[in-house]
Amino acid sequence: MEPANDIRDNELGIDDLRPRRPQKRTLMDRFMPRRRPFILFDPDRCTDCGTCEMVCATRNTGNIAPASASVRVVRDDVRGRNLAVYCQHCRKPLCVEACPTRATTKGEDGIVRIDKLFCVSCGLCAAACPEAAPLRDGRTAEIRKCDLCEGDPLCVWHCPNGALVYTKGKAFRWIKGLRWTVQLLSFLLLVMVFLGTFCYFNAGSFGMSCPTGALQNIFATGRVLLAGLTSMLAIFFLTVLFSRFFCGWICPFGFILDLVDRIIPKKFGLPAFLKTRMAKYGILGGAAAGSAAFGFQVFCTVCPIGTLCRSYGQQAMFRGAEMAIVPLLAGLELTERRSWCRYFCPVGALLAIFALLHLLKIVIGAKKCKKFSCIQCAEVCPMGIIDADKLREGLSPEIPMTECIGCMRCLDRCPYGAAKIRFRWQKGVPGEVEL
Amino acid sequence: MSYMRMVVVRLDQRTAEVVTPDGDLRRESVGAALNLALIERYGADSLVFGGGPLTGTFAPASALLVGSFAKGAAAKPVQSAQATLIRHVPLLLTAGPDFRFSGIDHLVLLGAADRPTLLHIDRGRVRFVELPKQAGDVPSLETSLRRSAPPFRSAILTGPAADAGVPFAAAAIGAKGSLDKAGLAGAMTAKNLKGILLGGSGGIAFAAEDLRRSLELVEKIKRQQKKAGGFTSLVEAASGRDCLKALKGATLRDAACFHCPAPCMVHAEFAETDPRFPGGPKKKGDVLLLDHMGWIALAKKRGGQSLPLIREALRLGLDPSAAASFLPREANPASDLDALSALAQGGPALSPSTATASPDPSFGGGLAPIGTGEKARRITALAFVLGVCPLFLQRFPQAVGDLLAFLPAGVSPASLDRAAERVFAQG
Repeated sequence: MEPANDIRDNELGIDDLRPRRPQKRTLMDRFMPRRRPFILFDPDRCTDCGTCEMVCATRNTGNIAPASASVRVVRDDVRGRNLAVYCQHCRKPLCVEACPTRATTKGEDGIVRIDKLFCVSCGLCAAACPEAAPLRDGRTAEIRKCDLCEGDPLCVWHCPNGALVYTKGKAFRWIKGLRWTVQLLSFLLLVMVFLGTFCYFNAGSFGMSCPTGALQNIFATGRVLLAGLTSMLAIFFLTVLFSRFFCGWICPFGFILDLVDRIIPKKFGLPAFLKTRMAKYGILGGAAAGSAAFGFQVFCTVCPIGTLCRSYGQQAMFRGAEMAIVPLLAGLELTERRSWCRYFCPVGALLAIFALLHLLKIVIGAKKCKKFSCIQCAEVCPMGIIDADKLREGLSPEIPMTECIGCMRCLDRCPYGAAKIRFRWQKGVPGEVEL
Repeated sequence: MSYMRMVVVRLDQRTAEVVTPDGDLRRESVGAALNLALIERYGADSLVFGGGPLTGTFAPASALLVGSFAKGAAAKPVQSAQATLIRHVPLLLTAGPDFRFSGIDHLVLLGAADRPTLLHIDRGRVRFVELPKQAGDVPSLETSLRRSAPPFRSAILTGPAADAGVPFAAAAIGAKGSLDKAGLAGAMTAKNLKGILLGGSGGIAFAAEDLRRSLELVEKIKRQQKKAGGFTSLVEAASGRDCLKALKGATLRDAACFHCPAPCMVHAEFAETDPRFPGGPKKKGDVLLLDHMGWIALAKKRGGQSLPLIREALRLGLDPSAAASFLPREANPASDLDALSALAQGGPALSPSTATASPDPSFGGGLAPIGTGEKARRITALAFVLGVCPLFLQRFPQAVGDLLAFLPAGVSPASLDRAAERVFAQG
């Protein structure tokens, strides 16, 4: 090969300068995401002493020069707290995508670094970062960013009040473990052991049935069955106490949707008119009206929960077209997480009506939540009811409990303890002064 | 480690000159003692700012910047029976470190500017900055400077009270206030100096061992901190529990100066209503309580209504202790605010009998009376020489020996003793 070709091989072309495409998530990443190292900042403990900036600068420059530090503590008058600006080593770092010279990379250890050799100090990473964490050196105008001191952060060691804590994330999320266990057991019990019991269950003089089925039955027959009333009351009290706990923890179709969500990617969008989430109430009304008109429970014939519960066992296995309903509706996961539950499920609609009387609520305190870029609660919420934009603005989002399925993913994921369960009448949110 | 980078600014000529200290200054003087020597050299008209050899270093609580001036330098001297010739005003929070990070250890201001002016210091250079057209109160001034002036990390500012020539004006660090009860704001106003902006983009060198020493000393101090207490302990020791009751309902969060492991200030978040509309909606307010004596004076007079008042005093650039003296006898939130406003404009007749006597005007007058007597004054003098918070050193006097390990080469403990003795004797 001629030497000229060698040189050409090492040249950067326009393709090299384009932002790289995001890496594809592997199946393993979906089920067991890697733990992300980062520093937790507690504004309640921060005294604004600036020791973190001081020691960080000694590593960056060899001098005590806080202006050259990779961490900055600022007083946030809007949120009324100190705010430490430093890299969160995001799971999907925008700075990496934005860097035109590919100087910013995320290592196998989860640490996002800037390679000084390639960095041209353009500042695009700082513009892309929701934290504005890449900081421009006040003296040399270089861009600096926290690299966690390669896993042993000096600022954490030296913080006199323990406001900074180095963590690799929660090793085990007990709510997640408990929820998956309950969901699996519920699925096994309702679908494989006590076949069809979700739709109707009778033990001696005691009977229970699906509340939506019972409602349709009332409209279809014009009579109120004791079993329907009992089950409605039971579900009513469960929902009043724990909101739509059934949807998040017990529903077998919800379990299927949670599994499918981890496997198939999101490819399509849904029309905007569905976003009001009123369609499910229309379906519930239609089911009731249809039942009254036709004299039988019309929605039950296509109900994915009922279909699942009736689909296993000698008598029920492969009952024709019914079996197609579950994968068909699970295919909605190609659009949004739990899109069936969000927009269409009439069982959820009935529970949402019951949940108007909820006793408990979930609150997220934006002041306790330290990071604009975190918004993990909004990311993990399967119902998409946590307003990430509000969190980015430093405001506490209001969570509509009629839509919340009580899965408690937000509580489990929040590294700052900003998501809490409160009684409905309790005012204030974590980290804020109650007026 | 370099120390003693000095700049002399002639405000009347709008010039700045880097001065190399001669042998006498180098040998004998550091910190506030060097300020004293510079005043002696450049005349009683001079206003000197200076950090100590430990200011901005890894020594805990190394936050002190000292503003020194002769009594006659103020336009209207503070009316206090205990006034002495030279006053050293402690400026804490981040003022001291940022001063040194800006490339200057001592700044001498001579003459008076022909119009209100601001100085911007960074990388050892001094720039004259135009005053924003709508300066207003201290927070507004800081906000407008953040927009219009070159970047700065800290600022020493004066407010409307100093502009009006009120003798109870106090200089402020940003909008957070200070411990100035001895007329530094007046001395700045006499020079037509509205403020000093500290860029702080540089740094200072440190010895390799300092990081480890700092960690060990901070651990040691934290073990003793419970005994020494924070803001509430200091206030309680000075005035009893009554002044703490005034904080009821407020959310308190500890705050500290630069690299201080033992916070003695608090951010107070509180709910307030507009005093003109008592039944109106509540909103959140917050204020940094760094002036223990100021808080005690206001809390004794107004109890639970003191938090908005101290914030208003800081906004107007008033000394809260003096402001408390001018409040009407009857408590009324609306008229209290009006009284402070009138005071900041020089409205009410000022009589010496109504003014609060500063406990120790030679050391700025704002230090909480942790210790009294000669020993406490000696410790304060040493802190002013070292560039370490005097309150910290009074709370942890046993740390003096450890702090000396952070001294840069060329500053001997013997010269420190001499310098501290000079500052003490002058006071």
